[in-house]
Amino acid sequence: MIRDFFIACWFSFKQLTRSNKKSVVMTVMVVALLFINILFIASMMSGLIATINNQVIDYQYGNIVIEPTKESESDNYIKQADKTVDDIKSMPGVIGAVQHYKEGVEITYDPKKEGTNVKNFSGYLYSIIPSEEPSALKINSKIVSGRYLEDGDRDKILLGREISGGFKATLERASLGGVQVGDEVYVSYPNGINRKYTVAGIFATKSFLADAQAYVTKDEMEDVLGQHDLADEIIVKTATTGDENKYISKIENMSQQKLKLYPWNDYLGALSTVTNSFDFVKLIFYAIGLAVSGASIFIIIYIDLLNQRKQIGILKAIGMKSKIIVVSYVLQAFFYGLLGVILGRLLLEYAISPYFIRHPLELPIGYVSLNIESVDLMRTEISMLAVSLIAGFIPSVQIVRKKILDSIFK
Amino acid sequence: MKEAENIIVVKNLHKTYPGEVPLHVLKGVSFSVKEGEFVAIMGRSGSGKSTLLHQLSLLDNPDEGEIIVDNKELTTLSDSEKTKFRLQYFGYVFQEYALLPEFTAVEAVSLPLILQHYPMKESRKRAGEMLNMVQLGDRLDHFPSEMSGGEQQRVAIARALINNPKILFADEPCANLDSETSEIILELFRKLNEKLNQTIILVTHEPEDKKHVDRVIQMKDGILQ
Repeated sequence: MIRDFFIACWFSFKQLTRSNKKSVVMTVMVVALLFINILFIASMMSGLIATINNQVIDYQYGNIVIEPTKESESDNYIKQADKTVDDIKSMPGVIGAVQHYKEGVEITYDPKKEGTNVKNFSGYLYSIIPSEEPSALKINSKIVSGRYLEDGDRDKILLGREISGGFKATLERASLGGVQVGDEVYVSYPNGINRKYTVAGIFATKSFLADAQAYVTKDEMEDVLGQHDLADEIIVKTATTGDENKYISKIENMSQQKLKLYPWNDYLGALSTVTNSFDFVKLIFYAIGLAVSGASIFIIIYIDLLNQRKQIGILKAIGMKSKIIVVSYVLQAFFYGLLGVILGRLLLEYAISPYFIRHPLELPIGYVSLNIESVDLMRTEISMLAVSLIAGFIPSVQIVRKKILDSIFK
Repeated sequence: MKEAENIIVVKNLHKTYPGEVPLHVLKGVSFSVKEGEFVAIMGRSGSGKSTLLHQLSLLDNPDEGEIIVDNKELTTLSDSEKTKFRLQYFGYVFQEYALLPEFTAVEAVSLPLILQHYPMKESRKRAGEMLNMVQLGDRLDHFPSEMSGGEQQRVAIARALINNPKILFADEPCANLDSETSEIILELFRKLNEKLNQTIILVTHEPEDKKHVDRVIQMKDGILQ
């Protein structure tokens, strides 16, 4: 048995190393391209999902959002916000924690200052400590005009493009209609206070929801609200994504105030139906890709083996056992599959993926690059190798079962 | 002198190829061949000579009759037993050489030994000796594409003989060769027959090949004449 396997290996090796090099290279190339074909579309869909998820994490909610319970009057805010943030920041694995006041406001823009053509935008105004905010959220990296807020700013406001208008905002009609840096806007707070702010900067993250937010400094907001050391939310950024629950239980144990803690994906809301739909589409594309690639590999190897029908007949005639013939051709098919998978993976990891990381596709939803998930990669590799084995096995068994004379002479 | 024993005994062999009009190719063929005999099966195209050779050499299955080789009835063997029997008892030389393009002369000849689990080194050594015997000692590492038709056929003969087969079957081995090369090949068969007492069954349609063989079995329309 082992000797027969050894003979099959020897035979395969001779045939592979001495058969037409161009034919071997072409077959391996085709298998590699089929491999890439399956993963490319699946990875693009994963990239799309990752972009949406990352936007939520990077520009809105970090990894964890902490909110007051609001069960009673005294629980409407997170108390001792500075200490709570400092305590969270000291936890291993936490790379940033920031506190926000969050007020539903109306922003008014009167471009001609004549009371005509006044535009309003109702949305959330957040307070930030500008020097600390980038440790959790990356709005500062998405400034498209003007500048980010500075700690001493009191009469400055930072607007998302969906509020300002312009900068390819998706809902221009609902915006303030083209506010520029340096323009003045009026903000009406829920407590009745109105403040005039100069627009310090405009940001565009490409996330519709994130770009519909506005920011002032914490000092300014506390002055307006007449509050100190409270917060409506604390955003926590952890080193890794996916293990938020581990941190949530640690923070719950640490906190003296009863708080609500949510992982970022609880805030996906309508976006979760979008990502779930993408996930489903991805699965369909993956299944179709696998079926098409599997059939293609099967046909390629099948034709290759059919062309060797005469040789198989000769081998049978001179007394080579059928199982040695089958194993040797299965090994050859497996070898084609293995080389194709290796080449495909090398091309994906060292050429295609780096290219898309450097030059991501600019889609309306954001910048999308390939996101090759290891589970997809492994599943595809195993599938392709299994298909190769089947593609070698079925035709070789069929040919071996044929009459010797039919194989040689027909 | 002791008379040679029959190595092949064929009794009432029938073969019909199915189809819209079934072709009854062998219609009850019976004969025997003695050990060490060089026999030619001759006849016109379509007379059934190649079909007969294919049945004798276990490349095909007869519909009826018996084939006894070395006192063993072969028609009842299973496929795997036939494969083993072919490897151990028979050697084949085909009209179209039937060499594998990826294998050198020495590898092609050593293949039957390797299939019987002989060590690679020994198989190669014996294959080299066999190729020397058919005067291809200088062509050991040449591929079929690097050899002439006559040389390829001599490689096929060496491959057929490497196992010391009881019977060597040759199906029109000179059909693709010029007359000069054909003479060389047939003379080689003759020498092998005489030197090694090799039993050879040769299918040919060339009347002049008669001079090389001990006996001619003449076929016409599926029966012996």
